[in-house]
Amino acid sequence: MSERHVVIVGGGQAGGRVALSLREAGFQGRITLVAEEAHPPYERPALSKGLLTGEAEPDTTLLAPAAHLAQMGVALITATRATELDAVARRLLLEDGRRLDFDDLVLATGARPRRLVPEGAAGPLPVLRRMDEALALRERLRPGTTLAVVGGGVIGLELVSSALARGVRPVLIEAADRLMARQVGPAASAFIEARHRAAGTELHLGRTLRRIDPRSLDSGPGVFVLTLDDGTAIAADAVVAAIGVVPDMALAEAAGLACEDGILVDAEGRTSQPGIWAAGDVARAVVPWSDRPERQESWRNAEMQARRVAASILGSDPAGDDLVPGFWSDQLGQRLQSEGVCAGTEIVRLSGDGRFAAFHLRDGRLVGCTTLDNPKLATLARRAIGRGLEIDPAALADPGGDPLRLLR
Amino acid sequence: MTWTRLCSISDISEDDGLRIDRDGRGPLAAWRVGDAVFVTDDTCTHGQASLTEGGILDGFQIECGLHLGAFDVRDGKVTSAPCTIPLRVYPVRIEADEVFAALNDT
Ligand SMILES: Cc1cc2nc3c(=O)[nH]c(=O)nc-3n(C[C@H](O)[C@H](O)[C@H](O)COP(=O)(O)OP(=O)(O)OC[C@H]3O[C@@H](n4cnc5c(N)ncnc54)[C@H](O)[C@@H]3O)c2cc1C
Ligand code: FES
Repeated sequence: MSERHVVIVGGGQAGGRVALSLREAGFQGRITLVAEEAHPPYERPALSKGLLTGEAEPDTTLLAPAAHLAQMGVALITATRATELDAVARRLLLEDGRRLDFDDLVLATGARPRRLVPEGAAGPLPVLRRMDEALALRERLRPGTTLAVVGGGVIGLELVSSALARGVRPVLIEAADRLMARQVGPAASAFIEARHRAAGTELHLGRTLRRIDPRSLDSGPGVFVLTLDDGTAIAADAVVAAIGVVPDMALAEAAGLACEDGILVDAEGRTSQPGIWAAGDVARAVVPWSDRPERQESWRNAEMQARRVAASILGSDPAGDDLVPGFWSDQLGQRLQSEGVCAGTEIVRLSGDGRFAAFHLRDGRLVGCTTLDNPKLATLARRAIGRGLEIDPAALADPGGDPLRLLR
Repeated sequence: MTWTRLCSISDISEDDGLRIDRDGRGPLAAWRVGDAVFVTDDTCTHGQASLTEGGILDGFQIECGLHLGAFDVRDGKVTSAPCTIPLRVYPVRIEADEVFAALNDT
């Protein structure tokens, strides 16, 4: 009888966590992890934060010390892409011709940055998703230069924060009329915008990049000249596009698995094909907080979904599971935390010390909370959202009240 | 061992612990479970997060608020991923209501 073989595709948060969780839960079979990148599984959040400012180095982003994975008996195949999946024969083909037969397959292929090719550009603008891209960008962030960022979401805003910390002048172009429009409510956007303007970021909201040209002699300093849809010209030494990601589901689609802007999975991470699982940015999953399957792009989702998949493979309960969605973002020395679903009516609270919080209610229950530099509030909100706490909106908004007490 | 006075027991919140900032070193955290007091580093070993500010103490386990990693405050052992590095703990001595810790002990 041969050992049960779990093959994992993708060496990000989700792929790495599935492998580690399987072993921590006592799985004795074989585990093979196939990763396209040259690194052992690592966490991406530092790539737009400490790795750019120089406070973090590549080895501090690893999910586990490199030797630990080997000790745990996880066979790591790095710098190799899986190119073909035969879901019926239960076989995975790698780009170097190797074939892996599996009993269970976990697709943790994540997402790829959306490409932006403006008029005048020779190819897509640089993006920030991978370690090597972050390291290359770090080299280009020299004090006194200008960085242009297209996209005012989490990654775009962290990029401009890190640029400022390195003495680089940031310019940000966002098509929507507010920042982080997909993630937070309008009042939170306005608060974040004011902070970025005060810090010296040049913001162009409601604008798109029309074309990019190499610098000509009369266009001033900078390597490129960016022209916006309203004719504004911006000189910049480096440009990064941070306009969102698309799920990397090519393997699954070609193998006939049910996909819909993401690989469709149930609450435990099962795809439409028995024994094939998906987790992380690539998965569109059944969740308790929405009527339709949702695809999330957050560290917590990748981590928790991976634990769930590992537990499901073993037929056990996941350790330390948390179903409340959420993410954090470090900007301008402050930590933003979002818990639950931050949509719908926004109840805003500014405490005496200027700290911002916004709450979102549905049917009298707390469903979302956005805070800045208030980690206790974020923790209590996550727990309150998880247990469906009923709450009086007036009490939440009351500047004299104590939201920590209300949520405990 | 040199004992440094940190706080009074009554300064330590049973839910949230007490953060203690001292010159020349990272912040410390004092925890109270029943009659017992424990002193650890305050910064989670996984990322830049304060355990007293964002964490929740449940029995002897402190769960970090940022990614829900956890440690046992008695010995600093990791009790939940994503943490991999144990939390540093310091020997504690109680005299009357006063909490002393041996901070130079390695
Ligand atoms: C710069 C940056 C900053 C971020 N900051 C935060 C933050 O502050 N807070 C937060 O909550 N979230 C943050 N995120 C989001 C978070 O990192 C992602 O949600 C998380 O990485 C998703 O994990 P994953 O394992 O699903 O995918 P990924 O981490 O993308 O890993 C997927 C891996 O699979 C590989 N792969 C794909 N196809 C194949 C194939 N066919 N064969 C082999 N390998 C393959 C890819 O190369 C990739 O390495 C950030 C993301 C980025 C890029
Ligand atoms: S910073 Fe504490 S678990 Fe990540």
